[in-house]
Amino acid sequence: MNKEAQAENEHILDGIRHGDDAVIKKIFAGCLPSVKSLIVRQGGLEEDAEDVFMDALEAIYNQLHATGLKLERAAFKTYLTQVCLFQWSKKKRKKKWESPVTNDELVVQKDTLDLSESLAEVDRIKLFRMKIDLLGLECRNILKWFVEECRSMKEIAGFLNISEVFARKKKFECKQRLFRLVKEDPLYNELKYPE
Amino acid sequence: MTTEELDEEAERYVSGKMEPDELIRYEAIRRQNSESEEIFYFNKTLYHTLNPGQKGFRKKLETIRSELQSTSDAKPFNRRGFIFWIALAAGITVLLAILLLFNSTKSPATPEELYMAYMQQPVALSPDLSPSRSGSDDSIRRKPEDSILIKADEFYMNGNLKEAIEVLESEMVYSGTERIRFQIAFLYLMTGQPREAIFMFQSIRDYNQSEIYWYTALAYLRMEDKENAKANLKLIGQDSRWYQKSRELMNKL
Repeated sequence: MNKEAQAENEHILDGIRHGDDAVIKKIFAGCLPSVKSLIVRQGGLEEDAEDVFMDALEAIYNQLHATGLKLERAAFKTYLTQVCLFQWSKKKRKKKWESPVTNDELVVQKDTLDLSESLAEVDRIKLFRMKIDLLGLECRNILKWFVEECRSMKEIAGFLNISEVFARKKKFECKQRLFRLVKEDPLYNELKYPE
Repeated sequence: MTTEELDEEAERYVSGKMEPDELIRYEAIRRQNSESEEIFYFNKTLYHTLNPGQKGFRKKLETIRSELQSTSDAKPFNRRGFIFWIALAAGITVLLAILLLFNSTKSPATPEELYMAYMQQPVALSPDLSPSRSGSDDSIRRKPEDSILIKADEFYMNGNLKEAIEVLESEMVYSGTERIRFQIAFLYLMTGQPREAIFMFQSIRDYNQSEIYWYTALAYLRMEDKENAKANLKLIGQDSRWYQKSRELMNKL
């Protein structure tokens, strides 16, 4: 890859890392149509393609914030298309990765597979989101305050007008309820954590 | 270690609150048994799920997706329509500017005043069950709780709120459906018992959640607790009928 293409990749990855609107819109405009056409040709719907496309971008965002991601062997568009096809093939429960592979695309297969754990984590996140919505208002508030807003148990106890010990117990119970809901879902078995 | 202790350790690990020596010790414990490993992964995904950056990024993707959809669905450019909307927007801007100028001379409203301004008293608690709307077919479809709701509504419409609460509370002992609980909570709020109202609202699991956030916010306002009022207003979804009002109220808080 030449330096110009590498700089372009860096610019895009940086935009995703920081949630830059302009960069993300450019990715949608530049990559989504081809992903749609490929997935539709493989029997999917346009909405499937959009879902897969967003999952792939979220996985890239995850990876960038977790361990980082370097694209030195292929253009971002090629990489993203491969990730989408990989995710789509997973969704179709295919055992083997089947997609039209060009020479340029061949070199990114390894990178795509490196992202497979992030893609799986995105699927788990979607399952968790679904199950959090099934919790009662109090549990959702406790988790939101504690995890999302990083509030102390003392503050949360104050919001609920209960003791800190009881608030801690409630938080544990809410998490147990959530984990049970997740484990009871048939989808959970397909989203196994790494060994 | 108990499950609760393992959970707290995992929580501290994934939220980055552990000291380096604790990290090493925890990782050793984690690998020892499958339960702690599972608790660790659950916490990790939970923190990812509720991570504001992650949530914000997904929301951004969804916004861009719907923007693109609406752009592709948009009608061709209409010059006359365009001029009309521009003129309308300009008119609204001028009106808003006048209103802002007028309001800026006033002192900010107190939580009590805001509560009074936003708390609307509906004509009936269960308008769908009112006798004028229930034909013979409706009575066949009625649920067992409906007679209680109708009785409570009669008290409510006559201004006897305490009696309405009593009727609903007596039913709740046997079968408190979410609708009954919601009406009790609402009546608590109306009768100046915001703390009880909040507790009742928070026990409701399967109801129109935006409605619950809205009235919980009003209950907090009644208690002059702006922060919690805001926290509940924030949770109201864009598709809710309370969304516009919630944003308006948040700006005033």
